[in-house]
Amino acid sequence: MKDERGTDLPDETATATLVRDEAEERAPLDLPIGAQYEIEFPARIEAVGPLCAFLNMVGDCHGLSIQELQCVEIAAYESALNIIEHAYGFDPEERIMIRIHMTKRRVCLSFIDRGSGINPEMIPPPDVRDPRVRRRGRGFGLQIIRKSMNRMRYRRTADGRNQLFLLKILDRGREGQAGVLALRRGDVV
Amino acid sequence: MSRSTATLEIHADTIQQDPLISALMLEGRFDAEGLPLVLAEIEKNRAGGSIRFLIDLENVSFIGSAGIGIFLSLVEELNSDGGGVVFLNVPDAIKRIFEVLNVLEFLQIRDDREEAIQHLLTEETLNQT
Repeated sequence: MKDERGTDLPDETATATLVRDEAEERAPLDLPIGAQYEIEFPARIEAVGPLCAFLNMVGDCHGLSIQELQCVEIAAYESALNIIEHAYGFDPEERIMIRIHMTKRRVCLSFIDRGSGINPEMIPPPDVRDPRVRRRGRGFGLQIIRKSMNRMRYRRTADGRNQLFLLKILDRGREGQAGVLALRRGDVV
Repeated sequence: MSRSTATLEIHADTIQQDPLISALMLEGRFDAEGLPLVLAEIEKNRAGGSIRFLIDLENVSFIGSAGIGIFLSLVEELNSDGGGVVFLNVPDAIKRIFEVLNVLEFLQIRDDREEAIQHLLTEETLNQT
C-alpha cells in the first residue's frame, strides 16, 4: 500500500495520515515543514523495515542529515521491535501506532501500544564489561535508543496504553549543507 | 555461495591460507528478518570446524541491536574456543553503534583484508581472550 505521495507503507492494512500542517510554507517536495503523521501498522517484524523506509523518506524531505536519519531510523526500529517482542509477545494480530512530528528543529516520535507495559526508563544499561552480558548478546536495543535520541519518556495512559516518546533535536548549524532537500524557507518550529 | 532474504545477502567463502577461516560478506540491511540467515550461516561454518571468522560489513546499510548481539556473542564464544573474529570494512554508522554501546574494545576491526587475515592467522589471535 502507498500513501498519497506514493510512499510504501508497512503493509496493506497500514495507514499513514498527515494529521496536521503547521506551516503555510513548505519544504522541497511539497512536504509541510511542521507536520505530524500518524502511522498504524501490524505488530510484525516484516512491517518494521517499510516503517523505517517511510521515516527515512519523510526525514530526508525535511532536511535531516544522514546521521540524523540514521539515529531516528535505528531508534524507531528498536522501539518497534521492543513493542512487538516484549509488549505483544510476537502476537501478529496486535497493532502499533506511531505519531511522527517533524519541525525545523526537532523530530518527535510517539509509539503507542496496548501490550504489557514495561517502563524502559527503569531498565539500566547493559554492563558490557561483563563477558556474560556480551555472550548473551541481548539487551542492547534500549541503550541504542537512549544514545541515538536526545530524550526518551514513557507513560502508561489511563486507558492502559503504553506511550513512548522519543525526541531528537536537530543540528541546524549545518543548515544549507544538507543538499537539495534542506529546508530553506520559513522559520516555523 | 550466497544466501539471501528480501533485505540481506550473505556471500560465504573460505580463505586460501587457511580453509578453516570462514569469510562472510554481508550485504544489505541486517535487521530482524536477516537474523535467522546469519545465525544459520554461522552455525553451518561452526559445524564445519571453523573457529575463525572474517566478517565483511562494507555493504551493510543498517544493523540492529540483535545483529550486534549476535556478533558480540560470536566473539565471546570463539575467543573461548581459541578462535576469533575480525570485522572488515565496518561503515562509520555501524562503528558509531559499537561506540555508543562501548563494545569497540572487544572487537577486532580492520580496513585491509590481508591484514585481517594475518591477524586471524597469528598465534596471538588463537590465544586471545
